[in-house]
Amino acid sequence: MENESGQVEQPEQKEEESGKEVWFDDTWTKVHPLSPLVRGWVTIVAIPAAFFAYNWEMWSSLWTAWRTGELIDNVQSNPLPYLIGGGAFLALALMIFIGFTLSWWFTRYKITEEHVMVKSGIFVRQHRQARIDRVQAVDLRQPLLARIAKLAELRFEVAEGDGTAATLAFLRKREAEELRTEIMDRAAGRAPASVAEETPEGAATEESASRDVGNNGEFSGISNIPRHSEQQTSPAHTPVPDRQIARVPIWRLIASMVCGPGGVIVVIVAGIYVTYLGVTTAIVWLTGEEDASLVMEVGLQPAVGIPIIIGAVVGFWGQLTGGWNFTATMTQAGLRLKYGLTTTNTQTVPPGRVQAIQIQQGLMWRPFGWYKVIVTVAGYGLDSRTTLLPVGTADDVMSLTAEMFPDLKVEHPEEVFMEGLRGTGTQLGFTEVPARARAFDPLVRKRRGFFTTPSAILLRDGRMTRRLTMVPHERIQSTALQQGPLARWRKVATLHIHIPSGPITALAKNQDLEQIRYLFEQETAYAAVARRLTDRNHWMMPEELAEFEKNVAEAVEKLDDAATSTSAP
Amino acid sequence: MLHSEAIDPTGVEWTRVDEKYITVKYITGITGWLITFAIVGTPLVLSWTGIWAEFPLWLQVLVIGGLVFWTAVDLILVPRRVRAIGYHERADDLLIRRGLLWQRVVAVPYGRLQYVDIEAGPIMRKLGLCTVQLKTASAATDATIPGAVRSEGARLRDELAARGQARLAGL
Repeated sequence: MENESGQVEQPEQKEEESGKEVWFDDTWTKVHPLSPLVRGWVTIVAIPAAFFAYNWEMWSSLWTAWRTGELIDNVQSNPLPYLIGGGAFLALALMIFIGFTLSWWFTRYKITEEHVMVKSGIFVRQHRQARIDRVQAVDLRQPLLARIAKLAELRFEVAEGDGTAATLAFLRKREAEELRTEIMDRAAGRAPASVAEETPEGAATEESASRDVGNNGEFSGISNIPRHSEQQTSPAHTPVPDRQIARVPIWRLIASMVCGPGGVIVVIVAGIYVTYLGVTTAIVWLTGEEDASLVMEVGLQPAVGIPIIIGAVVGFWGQLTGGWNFTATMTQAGLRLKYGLTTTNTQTVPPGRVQAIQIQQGLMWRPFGWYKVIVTVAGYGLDSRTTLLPVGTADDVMSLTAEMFPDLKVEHPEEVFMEGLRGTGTQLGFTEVPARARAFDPLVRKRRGFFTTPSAILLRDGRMTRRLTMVPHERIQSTALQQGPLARWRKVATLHIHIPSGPITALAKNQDLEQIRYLFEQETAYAAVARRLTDRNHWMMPEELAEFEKNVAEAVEKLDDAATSTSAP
Repeated sequence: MLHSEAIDPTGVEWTRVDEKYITVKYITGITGWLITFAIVGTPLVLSWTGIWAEFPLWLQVLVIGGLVFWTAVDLILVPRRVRAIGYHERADDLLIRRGLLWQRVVAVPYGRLQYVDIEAGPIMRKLGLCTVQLKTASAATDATIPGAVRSEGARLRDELAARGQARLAGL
């Protein structure tokens, strides 16, 4: 009963029990018996707490009565109210217990070759299933109580739908970990324990992409970096046992929070408040008169500050739990992120599921050289799990990007990368908003630009908070070129790159018309190749790779044909 | 014939939507403006009949004049706006353009299509038109062809679905 509201956001399929049909059989596994308790501990704590708090005077008088021995006499003389009270309490406890037991009994899961299926609900039955080959990421969550009981919750994120697709809560931690490994292996289309490499696919894209660029090679305005097409194995997918990539020390997390946007606001508000307080007390002290209205005003201030303080505390708490003991480890199944203060989370994000990546740096983080990394993974939506690194050094960011993002396939990726993070102007082949459109972007003009590599598009933006967004060409869903009347007058246009919904919006704003038109053509051509990647859910299966390579070869051939046929007339 | 705008890809011949869609746009546009006039007009009528406070004359003239001008411009632009809608099937993707002042050209690769929707309101049905809507995994795609003839809409849907199937790409 209680647990239904907590966990289930989006029922994929609702089935009413149809009389004789068996809802589940022996093939379904029950979750751990303590699960309802771990999930619904709030009810257990809250109901008695409310019960006691509501009429605590009665309880305290009862307590004194008990101590003086009056109570025993009272009960003996008039037992009815005590019996009713005690009975009600017992009934409540029994109801909670029955509810918990039933909800545990009716929650079952089953893992088949293709699906993870979860059934739950006492009255309203719910059946959810997630296709394993569509699983985007698997999270292992441990709230405080679950940590004590050594239990864990497993969440499967699927590409379809926005909410969490399937949640298994709770299993023994060891079981949950084993299950996660198994499912991640199967989602990757890789037989457990065998080691496959992802690189051939990357190499194939590279080849096709560079061929594609070669077709339009005479245009050098966009990126005049030399492209090399020799097979380059990216360092990301070498079969190495788990290795730690980044770690966030607690001092850095706290320092970054203080220097972050929340900290700046708190400092400003506190500054204003303290100044105000100082000035008013100084006035009172100097003039010597105890002006009642002034003192009133001073007294009023803390009340005004309370919502701000609450907001700040909530925000800080989110940052603190999201970054506490943060470690990023590269495992075979993907990047494993571990963090959490009371609730520990273990997220696994396979590199093949990252749609876009963004690196941010706030103004106050600049002296320390700290960056934040966020990603778009289908299914994560907008929540805090999209943070790949809450705060890290340039080295952390670099190695993380190397793991999670396809190789940029340029000669000096670090240079390009750092230019995108910090640079301004048209160095290295980045673009900027042309001077004639200065009025549109007076401040960010020299930062706002893009850069294309054979594998991805880099979008640079932001003067105060620097942002570098990177989208692999093959992940682009669609592209749109937009232009308003003023932009037409200044001969600029904006290119929107559509990716699945998440925290990242990718757009190249107010770029030179010729360059952006060329980019539009280029991106649509890339999409033409990428689109033939057929079903890439099993991104490591050898047959898939062979099929993929065949398709790419065909696509490239076709592109070449198209190029010759367009250049002929 | 749609003349080529600055952001249109070179060598693209836009297929225009049906002329009857202008009628649809006129009907919906005029209805919308009538409602606006009714909302704005109520206080004015009330003030003329003396029930409400009187508005100064200059304000009345300004509001009515401004509204009439805006309506006129909006309605006059309807045919041109409809003629600015166009689509073009390329080998690998579908291009859709729209807009006179604020122009937009979107390219949707067939392989990224998740589904194709066809819908038609009562007026559109009466005139034998429909709206074709293309959906990808990205909510931002927003690719619609309003006012296609129904047979053309059905053809587009089948064609796009077939091409999408043939070239389905994973996320």
